[in-house]
Amino acid sequence: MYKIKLSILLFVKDVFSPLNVIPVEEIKSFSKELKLFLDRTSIRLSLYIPGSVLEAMVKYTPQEVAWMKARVQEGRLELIGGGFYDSMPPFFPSRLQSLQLKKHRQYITKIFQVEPSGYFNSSMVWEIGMTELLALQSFKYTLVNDDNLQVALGRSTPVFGWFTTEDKGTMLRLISVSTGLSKAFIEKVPFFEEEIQKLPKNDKCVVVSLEVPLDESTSVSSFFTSLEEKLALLDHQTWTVSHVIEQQMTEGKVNLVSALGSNLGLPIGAHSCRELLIRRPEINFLHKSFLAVHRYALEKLSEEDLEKIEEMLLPLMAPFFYRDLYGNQGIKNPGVRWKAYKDLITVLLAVESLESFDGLRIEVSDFLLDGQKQVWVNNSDLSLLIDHGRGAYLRSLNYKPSGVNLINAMRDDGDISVGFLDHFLPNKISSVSGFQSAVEDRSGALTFPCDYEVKRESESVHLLFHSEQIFSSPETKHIFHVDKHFSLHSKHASFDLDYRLTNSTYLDFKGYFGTELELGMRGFDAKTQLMKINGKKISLVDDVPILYPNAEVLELQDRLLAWYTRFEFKRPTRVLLSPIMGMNQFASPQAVQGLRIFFFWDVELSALESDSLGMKIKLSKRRVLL
Amino acid sequence: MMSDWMDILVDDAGDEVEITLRGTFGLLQLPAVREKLEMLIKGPGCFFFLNLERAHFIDDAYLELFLNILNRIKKQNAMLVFISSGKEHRDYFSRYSHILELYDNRKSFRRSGLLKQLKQVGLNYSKQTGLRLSPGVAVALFVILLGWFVTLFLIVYIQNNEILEQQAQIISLENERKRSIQEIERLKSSLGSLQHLGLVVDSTTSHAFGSIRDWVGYLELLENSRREN
Repeated sequence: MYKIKLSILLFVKDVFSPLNVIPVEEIKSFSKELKLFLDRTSIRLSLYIPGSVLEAMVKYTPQEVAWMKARVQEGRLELIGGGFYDSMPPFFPSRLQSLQLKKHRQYITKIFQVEPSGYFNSSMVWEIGMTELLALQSFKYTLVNDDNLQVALGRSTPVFGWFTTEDKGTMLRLISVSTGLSKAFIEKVPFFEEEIQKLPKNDKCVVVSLEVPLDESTSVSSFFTSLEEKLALLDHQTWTVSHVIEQQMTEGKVNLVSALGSNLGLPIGAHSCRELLIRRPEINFLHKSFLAVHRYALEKLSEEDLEKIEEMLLPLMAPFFYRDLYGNQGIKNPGVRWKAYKDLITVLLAVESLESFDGLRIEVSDFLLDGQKQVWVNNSDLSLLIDHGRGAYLRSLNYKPSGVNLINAMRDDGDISVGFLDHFLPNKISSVSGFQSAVEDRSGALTFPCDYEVKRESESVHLLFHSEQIFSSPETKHIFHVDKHFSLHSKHASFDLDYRLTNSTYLDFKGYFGTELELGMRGFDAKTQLMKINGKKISLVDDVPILYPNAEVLELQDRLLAWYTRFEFKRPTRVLLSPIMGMNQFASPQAVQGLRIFFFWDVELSALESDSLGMKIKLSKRRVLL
Repeated sequence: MMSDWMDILVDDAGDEVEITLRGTFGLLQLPAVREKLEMLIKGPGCFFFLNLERAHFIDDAYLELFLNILNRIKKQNAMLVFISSGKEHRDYFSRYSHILELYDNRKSFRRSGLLKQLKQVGLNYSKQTGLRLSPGVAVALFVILLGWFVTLFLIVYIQNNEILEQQAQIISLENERKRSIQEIERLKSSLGSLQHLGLVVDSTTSHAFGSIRDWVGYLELLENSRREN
């Protein structure tokens, strides 16, 4: 009978928790079930465990870890290396990647007294640029999905064994992982048997990678039961993954530039994990904010302080922050976005504290790495990114004491969430849905580039943005000169926003001028959230939009996330409040992804006439503190 | 929009303002750099640091610009310090090294001389308050103030010594009083048995001595009664 040679790699993923709760029961269950499984069977296994899970295993199941150590020394178990937080290498600077790898390697060496020779990331992401990084960290091989190797080799038949790849004078071995058989192991028995029949009858080792789910402790035990059942159906011989290299000759060289990986939320047609940065603006913005904080630390801190900050940045490289997925798996969950910015703001505050800088910081640079400049303003309480190349709207509004980025909604149309994006609207609109639709369409959005001007005063700074903006309607075309003026105090969490609009055309204009905010608020909950206009409480019933005609003060509060904001208008304004609905994993627009606020005024401007509008925005942790 | 090729960073901490330029600077960028720098040096600040660590200049015209900026900053009674540790920048500034001050970093500037920095802070405060003092008057004021402080210190010192002496006297008198009380008690107890036998009459308890308040009066009374007898 044909005896299949199998190399099984088991891996677990770090579990997302907004409050950093460790799934102790699941981790205990994993340790115990793994021990029982290896006791019951005689198979050899390779194992990848992220550093954070491994730390918990050492803390809560030291006996099982000691037992595993003995199996590692026997050669029955192989520990595979990777990022301490299972990060995806192509996204991050080499310096941070090296630290991830080094930290994981050191921890494995400390606990198991072995040095891992293989590299693995649970997203199965590969790029040729990783070759040098991994080779310099003494890794001998990594694993890639066989379908990627098939494409690179131009083959339609299954690919087994290992290949070599080289880049910048360094070499790494790529071991093919059977995607089909890996999937079959978690499917039902008939499908598994069918997949086994497809395997070629040769003496090459088939490598599979299987995720042990840490969602529930019962699912861990059912995983091992199922694995044992499947293995019982096979006449098999098992080896660790590194054994494949020792026992088999190379299959040749391969030029695999990139492998998409799996479970990232990208469509099949995507070629690289980098497409996450293009397809999901929220991931891109978090990524750029992460890089900006790292650049800031690199520029301002000594090597010793920089190491402390980099250590703090490592958990923010965890894959759940960079997957286009729902639930606790990816950035589509508002909780994941909140947690990401909370942790990032904590690091930003730590950099400021280590730098001992207490003032106002203005950076005009390519923050978003999109070839244009943005203005990043920081004081002790606030951090704003103003995109003056697209109409001087805010890309982020971080309130540091509460650790929240208020401009953190998510739009399902793939566009970004904005703060103070200005619009001109025609005066024909008269209904709430008409206003809502006009704002969502962004047909009158003012997104032409602005010139910036910085005026420094003692204790404050004025950022002035001047632009010529065009508003077209089917009948007319207007050109407006718009002066947008942000005034920030160097220490307080408040700023003024003023507009001066001048009708530069020789045609009268009658319409609306407004500014749009997309706040990343949770679904409205009267117990923990407060919404007041002119001192009167209002609530969003059944997520129906509200239009309020004469607002002088708008107050918003989230007691759970500890932030309060107050908008005071220099003249009465109309306020349109509408929830931003998004898909959840059940593909229906049910998840509240934020709150859209549109402040707007009637504007009547004859030729060359000007008008001034404005508001004051104050933030605090609690309402009583303001 | 040629300014878009460069990064500008401003760290405004009140008296100290650090402006960082990053990028490659040729003749095309000069007007934009001039505009931005002139805009940023307006406003408060005593020390302006121009960090050029990651700036690469490919035209000498920037030296003229820096001299111009230096003049403007001097007119504001502030100071302009260039920051870079690169040899490239040392060579670039070599022609005007006696005018344009180039330091490796802000720490090395701070170590370069306290007096210079104090003078600069003084100039800044004179600008802010409108008070201007000539060095002679400043030294005289300083000496007077120092004299006042020394005199005050001496007065406090002398008074402190006097207080200590008086305290010592009080303690010794207190001890003396206690010792006298003990002596009187001892004498009283030695006379107690003789008083019981009626051999000695305690003259101090008799009515005749009731009005006697002190020993001087008592002795005078004794002397008077002796003379009368």
